[in-house]
Amino acid sequence: MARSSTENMITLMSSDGEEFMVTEKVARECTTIRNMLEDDCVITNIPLPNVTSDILSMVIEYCMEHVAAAEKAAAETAEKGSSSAPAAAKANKDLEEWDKAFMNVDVYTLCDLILAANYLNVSGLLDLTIQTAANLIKGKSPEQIRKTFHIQNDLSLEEEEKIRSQTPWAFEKSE
Amino acid sequence: MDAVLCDELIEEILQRVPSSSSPSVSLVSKRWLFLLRSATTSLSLRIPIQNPSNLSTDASTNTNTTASLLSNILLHYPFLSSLTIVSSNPEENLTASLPSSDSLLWSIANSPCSNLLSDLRFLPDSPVSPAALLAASSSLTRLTSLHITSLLPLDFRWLTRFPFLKSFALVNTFSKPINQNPNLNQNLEIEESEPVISLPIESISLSGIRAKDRGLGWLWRRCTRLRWLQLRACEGIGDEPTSAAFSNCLTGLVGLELRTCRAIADRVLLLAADRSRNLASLLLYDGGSRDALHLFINRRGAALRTLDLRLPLDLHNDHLLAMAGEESGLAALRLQSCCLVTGDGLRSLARAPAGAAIEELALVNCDVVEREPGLLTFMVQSMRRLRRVDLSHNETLSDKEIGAMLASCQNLVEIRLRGCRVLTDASLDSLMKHCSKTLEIIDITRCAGIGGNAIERLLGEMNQLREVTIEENKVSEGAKAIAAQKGINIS
Repeated sequence: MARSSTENMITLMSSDGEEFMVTEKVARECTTIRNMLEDDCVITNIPLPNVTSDILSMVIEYCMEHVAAAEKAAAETAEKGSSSAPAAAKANKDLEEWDKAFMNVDVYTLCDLILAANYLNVSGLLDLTIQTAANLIKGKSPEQIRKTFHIQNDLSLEEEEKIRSQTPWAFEKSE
Repeated sequence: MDAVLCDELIEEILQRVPSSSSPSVSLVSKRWLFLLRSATTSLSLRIPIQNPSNLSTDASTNTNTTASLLSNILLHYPFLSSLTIVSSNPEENLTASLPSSDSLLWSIANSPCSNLLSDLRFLPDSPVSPAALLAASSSLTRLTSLHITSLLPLDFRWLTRFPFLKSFALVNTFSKPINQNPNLNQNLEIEESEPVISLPIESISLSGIRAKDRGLGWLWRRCTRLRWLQLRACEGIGDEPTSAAFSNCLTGLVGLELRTCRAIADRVLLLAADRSRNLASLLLYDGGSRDALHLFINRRGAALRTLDLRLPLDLHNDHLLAMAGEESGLAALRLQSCCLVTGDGLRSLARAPAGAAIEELALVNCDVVEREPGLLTFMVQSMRRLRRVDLSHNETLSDKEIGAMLASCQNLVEIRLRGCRVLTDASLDSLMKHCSKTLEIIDITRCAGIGGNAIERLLGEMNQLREVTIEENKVSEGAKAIAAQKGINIS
């Protein structure tokens, strides 16, 4: 980590004016920011008017964790000449556990994270948040889904009946 | 969430929700219903049994209702690339009139998704006509894979209208023969005045071709790019026995499967021995004489990578010896119910270079492994590259045999012991002792001697385990918790 002091620092500014100093490497985890840096390499201060400070701090936390994990894996490979499969598998599992804990948020935060991950184009985080939202839907009744995501039911009884009449047609492919 | 997220992101979420949850998602709100349908690219529909009160005396009205219902449903799904249609009960509906399947196909061809569909499994309860397929071809322009239940008459000329079709299957799931007009199949051996243009099809599966069926000669002549051929329960190949058309399609074949085709197995084997120079995989279930199999192995054994034989009545040691004589790189050998094979044949094969290359070995219901103690250990010691073993349905196979085998076989990733009734917890102990670092897949269904405690210990001890097949009542709460924590799939 000694290198990081010599690394370029970038300031990210949230919609509510809070500033976050991050290394260029962490900032580059966001494809949107990476593209900006490649277009204009002297830029050091990036305003992000679509992301609030609490969400931005979470996105940065995610990027830092994943950059650190990748650096650790690279260092181990360099040290031993080759990566040992069990150690790599364990590191992967640890990161998965971290992701899982990181996703322990309420639905509002989850939606904001999806939006931020989409806007900043952090593919790993977008994948994680979308999958988490899908898991919240899985196995629930329509009413439970509405409650989870705070959705108003605008279907009339007739419409519901019509949709139901078509569901017996659908079935699970068993293959 | 509704207000915050745009349509594209909600669609992305809905695409990750398993289709079992689709009925619930469709009832959440208008927006979700719309987004669910437009996010759906793969749909399976079962044609419902007609409500008796709707069953009018006029069969055509009935048919039209089903077809229009199908049209109405498909109207909501404009982005389907894969569609499966099955009948609710093929056994009872055999009296259905011929037009019903054709009108259903017409509904699909006229649906908004028709020009996006690449994979269509059209399995209704009555045969479809070549004319209907010909008509549908103008809108199903991107089809790459087509399964149909049954075709009547057996005329394949419509296939020329599907320029991207790579895979075709005639599934023929009817258990009873369809009443058909005997005249329908006459004169189908079309006069070949038209030029022979080869079809793009690379994979064909045909079921239930009867001895007297004709009309496939046209197809065989045009399948010059065929790489994989499967024949199931076929009594004939739909061509004149003297015709050379069939052997024409065997030239480029990489995989051949003959399932319960006793009447034609020998003929196909001999032709494949002669023509299929690139054949790497043979599956032969029920059928094939000693001589035909012998000739096949002599001619093609050198190139074979996979050999899968079930109950070939005449499989003897000399077939295995012939295999052993080849400079082959056999990667998978699966023998099922091969009662004439003895330890000598298997030992010879295991000792030969052909045997030493084997990565997957199945000796399912082969009593030789029970008759000859030590055989398994000898084989795994010779087959240094062995990764997958299937010893299912060897009902008297003992813990001692399994233990000795596992002690010599350190790199196993998969073991199947389904229905090995004599095995006890001791076999699982051997697995934990010798294979804890490598084993990923295990099947121990119907092993009455193996208990829940041992299974729980197994789940805890194994480092790489991904899939366990076992009866649910043997999985304790503790075992479930371990499986969930380690990401092990129990089925």
